[in-house]
Amino acid sequence: MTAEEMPDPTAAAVPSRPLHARMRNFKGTVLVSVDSDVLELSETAAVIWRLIDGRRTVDDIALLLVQQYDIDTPTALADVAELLGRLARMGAVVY
Amino acid sequence: MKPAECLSILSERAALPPDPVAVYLAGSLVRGWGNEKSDLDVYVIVPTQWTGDQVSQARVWVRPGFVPVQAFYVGGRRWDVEYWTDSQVDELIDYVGWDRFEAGASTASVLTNTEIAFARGLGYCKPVDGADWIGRRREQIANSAIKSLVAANLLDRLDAFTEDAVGLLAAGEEASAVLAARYAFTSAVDALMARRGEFDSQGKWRARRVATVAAREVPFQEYWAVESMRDYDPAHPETWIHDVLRRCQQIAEVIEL
Repeated sequence: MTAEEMPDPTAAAVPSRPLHARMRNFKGTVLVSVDSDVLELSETAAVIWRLIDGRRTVDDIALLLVQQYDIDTPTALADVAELLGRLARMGAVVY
Repeated sequence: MKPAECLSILSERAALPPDPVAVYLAGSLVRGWGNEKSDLDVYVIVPTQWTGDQVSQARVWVRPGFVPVQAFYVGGRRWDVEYWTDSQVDELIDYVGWDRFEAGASTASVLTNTEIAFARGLGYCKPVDGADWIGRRREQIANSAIKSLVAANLLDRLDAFTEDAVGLLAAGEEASAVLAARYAFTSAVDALMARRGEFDSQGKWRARRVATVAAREVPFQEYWAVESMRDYDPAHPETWIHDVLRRCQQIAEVIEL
């Protein structure tokens, strides 16, 4: 399976950030990069990124988002899974 | 020491031009970090290139690529006197402007330690002469991008050392991986300190800087535990390396450039 074919994670998956994944906070813009791949994160995406600690599940992160923002659980779960999928495809998240 | 006494000593040593733009003292003694063996760093701003006696030339990026340095002893203490022209200071301040930084220029990497120490010294120096000039330059440096420039450069070093540490560990080069992880950590700490204002990154003062900045993200005891490798277990170097690199990642993430 290529990185592009990698599916979005399940709710029970535990994402973690590999040591070589970099984050820069450049005048309010959060950028995540691995090698030459760079992804600019929205404010919510940056919050999700910071919640990835190698212990929380996808579900845990989504629930924390629900508590922080005025969104329902299915929407939060979908947002988290979609972002984690993109990060995993560029190698910025592993399971 | 009173300003008049300082100027008198410089004059007696033929170390003062007739029309200095400014004179000030900086370095560890002025910061209160010095000891009886510490040198006194004296900065003399001159309108044109200093042509008097000099013992060496410190390499700088700004033209013409050096600043003359004079040195002598006063009552057993060495005085190091650097002569900067006003136009060199103009060029340095222009070089560390926000427009360059925001355009993505990695300008900090070409600045020498002499230039970084000069810029940092303006922030805490003890004026001897030319207080107005010093105040204006201090404000210009404070409003410049130099803290972010130096921090960005150190974060690049952090990335390189992190890659080295991971690669070396995977290759079974554990001792080298430990050293790379240590360099990664000091780069991360120096980057945070730089962004918080302590951008003169001389290694010997790192503990002092960490104590001075007192960043909640890197409490001194935690910093010192890593710097002194307190929790390093030779039987499991990979554990220490991973913990340190993870900590580096966390530090890097709180630095806003």
